[in-house]
Amino acid sequence: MSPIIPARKIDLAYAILVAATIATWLIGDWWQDHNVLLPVMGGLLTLTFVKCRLVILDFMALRPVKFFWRGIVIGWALLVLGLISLAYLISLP
Amino acid sequence: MTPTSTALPESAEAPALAPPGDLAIWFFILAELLAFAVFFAAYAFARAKNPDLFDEMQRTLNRDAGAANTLLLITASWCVARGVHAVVKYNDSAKASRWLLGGIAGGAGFLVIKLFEYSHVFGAGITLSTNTFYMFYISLTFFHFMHVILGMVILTVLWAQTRKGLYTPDSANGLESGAAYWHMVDLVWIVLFPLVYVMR
Repeated sequence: MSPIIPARKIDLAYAILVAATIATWLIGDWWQDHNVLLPVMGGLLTLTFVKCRLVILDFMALRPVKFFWRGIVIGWALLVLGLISLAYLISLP
Repeated sequence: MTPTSTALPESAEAPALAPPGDLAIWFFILAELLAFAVFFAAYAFARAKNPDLFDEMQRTLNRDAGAANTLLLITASWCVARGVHAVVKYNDSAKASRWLLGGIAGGAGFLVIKLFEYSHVFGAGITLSTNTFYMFYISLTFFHFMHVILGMVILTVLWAQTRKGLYTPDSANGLESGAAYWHMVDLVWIVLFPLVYVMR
């Protein structure tokens, strides 16, 4: 039988995704005029990871699946965001 | 198809062995994610070599359009997830087809906004060889754009099949496979938006 994610979980994930996207949007606007780097970048990457995790677990329906599959896709998100962080740290003056 | 009166349980006692859909689509998804990971890393390290250029060029992008597109893709993904839920839990194809139509509308909205962005960029005479930032911006977003188009084709087929009531809780592999692909397209954009439009 297919893994089933409860509808309320799907809806909650959507609400958090919308809120996190609006937060990312506002960070983008604020960041244009401020020279704060590391704390904002940390917040941005955390928000992005939270969004990735929700899509992977609740939209892709990997939450009730064996850890192997969840681990691969969440690992992808961690790897990509880790590489972006590393490149960002290198770029700092 | 008439919805069944009894809903299926939402959680199994033991975790499912395999993810929803065909195993083959997951290998395809992992290959796509790997390709995008290489693209993202290449962008990030190219930016690290010349952050001033990337920051200056980023100001020329329409961040509002990028954010609106994120909301559209997230909404489309939500609709698709609810469409799959309507079939696998309630066997309600009519409801599922309406959710899938919502997903198609979200994807279409994304394509329209992206086309407006491209017309602005190309109208300003910007090409792949303008500078490193635009080489990455155009190639990365266009690579994703092509994936959205393929996703739209898949969603349209799923919608037509669902309208005919071809998917049931015991036979939803095709629906779940197409949905997983669409969520992958959404997942990739969730990383692309902050990386290209927001990060400074």
